[in-house]
Amino acid sequence: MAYLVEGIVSAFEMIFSFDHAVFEIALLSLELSVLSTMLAALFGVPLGFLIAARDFWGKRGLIIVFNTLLSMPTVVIGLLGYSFLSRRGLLGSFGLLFTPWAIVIGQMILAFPIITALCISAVQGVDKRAQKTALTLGANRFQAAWIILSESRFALFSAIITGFGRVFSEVGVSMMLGGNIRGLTRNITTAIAFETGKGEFALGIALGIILLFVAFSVNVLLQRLQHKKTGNNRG
Amino acid sequence: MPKAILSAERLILEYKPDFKLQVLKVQFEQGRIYALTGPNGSGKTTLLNILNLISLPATGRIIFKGRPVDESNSLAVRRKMSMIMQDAYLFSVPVLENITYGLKLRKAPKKKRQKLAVEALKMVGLSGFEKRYPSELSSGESQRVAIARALVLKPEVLFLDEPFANIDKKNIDMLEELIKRVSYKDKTAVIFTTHDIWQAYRLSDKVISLVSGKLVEGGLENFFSGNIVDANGLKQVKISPRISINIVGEKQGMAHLCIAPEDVIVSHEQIHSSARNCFSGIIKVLHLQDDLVRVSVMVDKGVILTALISKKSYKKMSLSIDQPVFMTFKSTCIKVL
Repeated sequence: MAYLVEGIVSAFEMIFSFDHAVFEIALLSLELSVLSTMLAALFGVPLGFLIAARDFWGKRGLIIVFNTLLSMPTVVIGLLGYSFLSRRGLLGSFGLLFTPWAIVIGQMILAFPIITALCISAVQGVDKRAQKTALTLGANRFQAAWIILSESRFALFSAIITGFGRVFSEVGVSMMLGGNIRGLTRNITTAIAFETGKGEFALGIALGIILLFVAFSVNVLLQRLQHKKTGNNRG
Repeated sequence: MPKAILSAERLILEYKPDFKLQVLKVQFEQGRIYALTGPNGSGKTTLLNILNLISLPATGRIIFKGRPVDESNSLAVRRKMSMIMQDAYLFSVPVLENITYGLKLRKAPKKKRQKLAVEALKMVGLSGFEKRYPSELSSGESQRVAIARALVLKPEVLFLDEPFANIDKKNIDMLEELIKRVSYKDKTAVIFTTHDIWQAYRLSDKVISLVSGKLVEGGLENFFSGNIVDANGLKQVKISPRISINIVGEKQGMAHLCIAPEDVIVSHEQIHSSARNCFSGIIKVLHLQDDLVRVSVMVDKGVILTALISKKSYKKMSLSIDQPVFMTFKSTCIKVL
């Protein structure tokens, strides 16, 4: 076990000495995850709102599909992405495979159903009286719809943060579509896998600590949002 | 003469398989207070939603200040009205933002919004509550914030759906005063729903009732239901073991009967006349109101008949509680629905 203790000590030394390799990888991870989450939210939030707010044929079936996609393994997304982005694939001509954009696309596909499904649930959870109240105060249909989004804002932030947490910690997509190229597509999770394979525990542990720290921060934020008491007193 | 600000003609809305709201004509004037009464499920909230342009009727039209409301002016007309719901909903933002919401939609300047909101809060006795969140308010306080939020808009028509349901006696008095004040001072047409018939008469200039989706003038004081039966060529509705009311009309089966209190005669002796309905009973309530007196008489267990008489008649007859009297009315004055 001495090598593990040695690895942990070295890992802290690397973090507190702001080791270039550690922070380069951590920063790339953050950049890619934030970008993919924002893109997924850009499509997922409006779609989730429309699904929740409108009645149409097949609505329940569509919600089941999105809920099923919540548990889609990252390697399946990696496999699908690979088949589209590889030279022989439909989008092969764009030359995106093993670039940061490939990771962003894959992670976006991963976060999209999570954000959409949680957004549906968030909008459905808004009190039915909110829209009517807005109308009685003179809102047009768009302003009344905006009130629903505004009333579900904490649940929507939670949905986006949950999506971010999922993509930040995934490894399958990044490995299969990014290729773990140093300085280009190597992020925290692929680096940990790679360094562990080489027997270099210090860098792996340092990155693992950063990963856990970010995950912890995200959960603290989520908890704060979930406990924010701003709603109506029904008692 | 007060002007009709809002009217509805030939409204029909079917919103349940077995329920249809049908309003031939109803009209509301500036500066007057209207009470809308009726049993649960009679369509009161639905009618308010239609008049407030939130729900669309299948047929019929709404006229605001003499102009029919259509797609082109519906939002502008809706912004001249406001509504306070029975179980008021406050947005999850501080009280001040709740109150300024409608003003913001009307593009009022920020300073003006805040000034008006502070005044509105003062009016409902909630000064200093500006920064509180809805979760920090009691249900009564929430209702008062909702009232301030609606009144700050200075609506020309104000709808209140069961506004007194969730507030205590002290605040009921405050709200009644507020309603009278906005109606008198701002010439607002106020339309409120209530189950309290005495409150309806005390507060309003006119009482309208809804029974099974149809409008009836007056309150539902003498409202009875039963099956129409044929008794020796006469149509009767048995409303209690002892009381059967003679009616006229073509209707068959289940019926609702409404008898206007002003059509009921109170007498010490039984009247022998053309009136087909005469029942003896005991006076249970005497409600004095300006020059009129409402006399409520128990004619059978659980059956109360109310008559509206002048104060002069009341004094002349020396009516008192627990006194035996006769209540008489004609079959032709009964509204059969």
